Amino acid sequence: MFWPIGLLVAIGILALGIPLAWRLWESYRVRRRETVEDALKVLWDCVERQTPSTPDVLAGRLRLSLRAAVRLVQHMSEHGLVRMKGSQVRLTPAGRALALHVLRAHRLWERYLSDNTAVPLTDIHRMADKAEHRLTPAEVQRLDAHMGYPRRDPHGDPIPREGEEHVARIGTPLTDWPLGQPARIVHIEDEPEAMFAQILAEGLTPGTDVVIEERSPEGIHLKVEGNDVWLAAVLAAHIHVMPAPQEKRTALSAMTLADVPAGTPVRVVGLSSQVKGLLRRRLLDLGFTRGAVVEPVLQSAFGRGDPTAYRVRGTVVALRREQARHIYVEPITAPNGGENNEPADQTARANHAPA
Amino acid sequence: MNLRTKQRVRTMLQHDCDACALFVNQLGVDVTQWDYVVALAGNPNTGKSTLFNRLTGLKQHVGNWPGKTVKRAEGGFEFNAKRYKIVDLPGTYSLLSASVEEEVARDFILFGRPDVVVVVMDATALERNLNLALQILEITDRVVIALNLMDEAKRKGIQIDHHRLARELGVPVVPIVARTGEGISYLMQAVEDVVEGRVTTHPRRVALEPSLQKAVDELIPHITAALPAVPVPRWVAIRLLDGDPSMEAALRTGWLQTQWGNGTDPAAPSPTTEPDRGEALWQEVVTLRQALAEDFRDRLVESIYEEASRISRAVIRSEGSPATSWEQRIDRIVTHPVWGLPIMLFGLAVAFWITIVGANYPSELLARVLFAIEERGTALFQALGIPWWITGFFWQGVYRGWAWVVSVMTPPMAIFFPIFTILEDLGYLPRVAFNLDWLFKRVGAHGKQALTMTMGFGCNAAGVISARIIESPRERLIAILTNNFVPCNGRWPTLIMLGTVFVAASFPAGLAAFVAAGSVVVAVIVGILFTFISSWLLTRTLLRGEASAFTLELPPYRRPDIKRILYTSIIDRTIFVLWRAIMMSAPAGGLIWLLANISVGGTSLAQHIAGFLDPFGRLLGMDGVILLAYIIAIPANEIVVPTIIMLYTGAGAMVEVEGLTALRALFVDQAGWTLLTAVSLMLFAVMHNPCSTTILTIWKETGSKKWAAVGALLPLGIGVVVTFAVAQTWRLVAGLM
Repeated sequence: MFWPIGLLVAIGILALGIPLAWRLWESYRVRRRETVEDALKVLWDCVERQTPSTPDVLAGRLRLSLRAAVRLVQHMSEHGLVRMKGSQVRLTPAGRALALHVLRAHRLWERYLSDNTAVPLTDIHRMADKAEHRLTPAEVQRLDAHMGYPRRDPHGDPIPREGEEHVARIGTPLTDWPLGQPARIVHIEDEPEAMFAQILAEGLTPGTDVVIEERSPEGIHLKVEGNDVWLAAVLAAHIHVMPAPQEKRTALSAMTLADVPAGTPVRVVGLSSQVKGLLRRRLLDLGFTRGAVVEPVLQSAFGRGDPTAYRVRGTVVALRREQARHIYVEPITAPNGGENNEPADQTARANHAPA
Repeated sequence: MNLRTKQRVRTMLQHDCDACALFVNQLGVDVTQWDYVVALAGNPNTGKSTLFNRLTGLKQHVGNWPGKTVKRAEGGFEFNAKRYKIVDLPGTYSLLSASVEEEVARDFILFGRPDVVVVVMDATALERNLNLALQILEITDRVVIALNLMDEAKRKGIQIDHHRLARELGVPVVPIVARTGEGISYLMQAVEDVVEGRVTTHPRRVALEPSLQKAVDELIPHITAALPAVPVPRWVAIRLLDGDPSMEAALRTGWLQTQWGNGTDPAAPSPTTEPDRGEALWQEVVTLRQALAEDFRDRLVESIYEEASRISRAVIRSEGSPATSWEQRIDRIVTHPVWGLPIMLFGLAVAFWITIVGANYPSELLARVLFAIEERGTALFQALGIPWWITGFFWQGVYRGWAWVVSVMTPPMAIFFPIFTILEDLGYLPRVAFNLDWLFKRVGAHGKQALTMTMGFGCNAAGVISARIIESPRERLIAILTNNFVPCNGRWPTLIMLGTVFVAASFPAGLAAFVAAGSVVVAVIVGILFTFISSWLLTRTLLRGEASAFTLELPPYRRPDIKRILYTSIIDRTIFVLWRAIMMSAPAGGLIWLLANISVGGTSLAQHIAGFLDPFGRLLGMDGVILLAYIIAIPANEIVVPTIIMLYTGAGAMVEVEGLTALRALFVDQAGWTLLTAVSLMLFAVMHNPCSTTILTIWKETGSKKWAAVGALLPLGIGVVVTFAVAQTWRLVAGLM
């Protein structure tokens, strides 16, 4: 009586069970491949930093048990990716090539996410950790070309090229930078994630210009694009800086377009490095370039000045506050000043002088 | 001069060559053979389409650029016995950002080989317009500048030395007023001079930032070696160094080589060697790019703008006041914290009122005519002895479904769309977007979504298309995917009927009218509320990573060009939407008829399906018949109520019941509807899957099946959840009381 039901159930179990088993097996293989690739990245990093690369270093960085790490190393050496030299695990040429691919995939993907999408910087590392295992060498090549062969990822880490081996990290730790010297952030360590997020939350990204106002053993006091920021020493050690380019120092001027009262014409000094990709191009196309005279003409009553409409190059364009905040401006001193930046530099310097 | 005199003067002067130059013979779409191709380029809002229509005489062919969702208008005209084909390029601010519009415009100037590019410039915003003009001068020598809106400039007290401007740019400059036609013949004379080679142009090229200039100088010899026929090596060098993805792809796939590889015959490249040379050139680009200043892109735009501002300072003899006082005063009023909102709501109410009242009579007339044809047709078929099922399927099925949609849809759209376009051209709608942006910003959307939503009240498919006005990709997707939460005019009748028959009937007669209107308003507000909720959800989930760039230009107030508006809004929007709806509704009508007339075991197929769907319908506070009606009505929402009535009465075709009492009797006494049924149906009418026309439009506009699926399933899912929750809560509360 019940045999048709029994048959149906059996068919059901088979129909569901076989694909499920297949999926489990597949995901096991994918996971193992990903662990191998992660291990290669760790080994690459050890070479770059010239630190020991023993199986227990791998176990620690990959959060594996020592036994699992040893098994992993064995598996990798069977595939010709690594070989043991004493207690050290060394990359073979094949292993180095694969590590290079994964690293390039990771950093290029980060570059892509930060320039062409609106994904917050705090998330791109995690997303790239997934994408690096999926991208094929051909895709990485195309991505590289599409992004215009960028040299650094959004945290300032070098993107290695095939052929050239290890690119030196650049910059001085912020903790060693002299007081009062304008500096540009070139690299922020993206691990551990919580610290990275904290640094970003202070408005610091690679490309931001800063000046150290004061330093103590606990931390440093920074002037960042017109704002005061206090940074704990642990965090400051995660930031590397270089001298800020001469003409961009004006970006340290305290005033942004968002601070300008209605009816006051001002001159654009530059766009913040945080304005990227599509928005940057759009703003430039609309005429918010260096030297442009901009005047707020109309403020949204309902949004209390957000958005505000600006007269720029004979047209009226509305921007939201978060965009206006990234456009640096200076008061117009000479009534018919041209494009030279002399007054801009003076204002900037006046701002940096200790009070 | 009246029309006839004009005509006479024209015939009189036909053989006098100097004078016949004064007349442009509009050819409309008849451009089968042409001597020259003219491309029309310019910033948005410069009167480009006005000039286009002035030249082609409102007869144009509008379609999309191949593979792109950018409008493409083409037309023709005759001047001095030469036939010109004219192509209206999309309005852009620049050619550097590689947005779809810019790519289309740039590719046409570069590869479409127009004989001349007419750059339309707004005389009141010379500096900004020069940015694009200078970029076009980089790409091609054959340029004529049409300095438009001279009347507006004069009114604002702006004086421009256009002779000086022509000397500065090295190409002819003709001041015109496109709306009145002033200066058009001189413009055409200048165009003719350039195409026939009587005038040689010496376009100005912008001085580049030093590191870029050096790289460009080094790259040019490589480019001329690899691509001997390239007309603008300097520009190609800049674009390649800038990392323009489409230029790069064109080089690496060998497409550029097929265009410019061979000096004499572009159609015959040598396929074996050329791509290799392209690869070598590419390697050179990559090497040179390393030496560029980090922010050379910014510097490039800066140097163009510096030049633009220098030229505009040199040629503007009188600045005038930046905005006339009345414009500023109007801006103050329409964005006023107290008056802004009432003015907006009043304007919207008036637009709707005109639409509803104005559509009433033509709608009825159309229905009467169309249904009279049905009667005659049926009679004719019967007289001819054609079997009843053919007559029924064709007339009561296919034709009736079609007629229903046409009569309900056409008049409101033909009225609503022009009103909307007039407000748009007037410059008022961008101010509405400006006023409401703070609200949309909170859910991650663009202020212009207020406009696409308003458009959606007319028709969701048109609302989806109108999302093109949002340039930022993420905000545009949000506007497209959530447009369906505002009820279109196909759904208004359902809401109004339910509000009157049910909700209002539960209240005393004195209040009934207000309650009826109130319930419809509440349904609409619920829809708008869910627009915001789903926009918010989308920004935080599916669209989190989409790029976004908010900018909103507030163009000066302008007198709208009514003739053009009537024409384009009827051609572009009404006919287009109607055509798709007709294509969808006729088969649906046929299907409905079949379902109602094919019986299995004594009951019609429709009754069987309705019975099967009934338990699901009950869960959502409705019943199987309503769900079935919604499934069949996917092609056109207008036929939901007629289908429901058909299913309840057991009639063989869609019918309408005259009078509210009869309708109430049918729904309440026969079908057992309660207030809950009506409320659930109202909610579901606002929140369910879009009609198939809209789904198709979403697919076309986004170019992605995934987004079309999201656009269809998101409102449906929310509708099911909401009606389920309401029905269950209602029953729970009713059970407790």
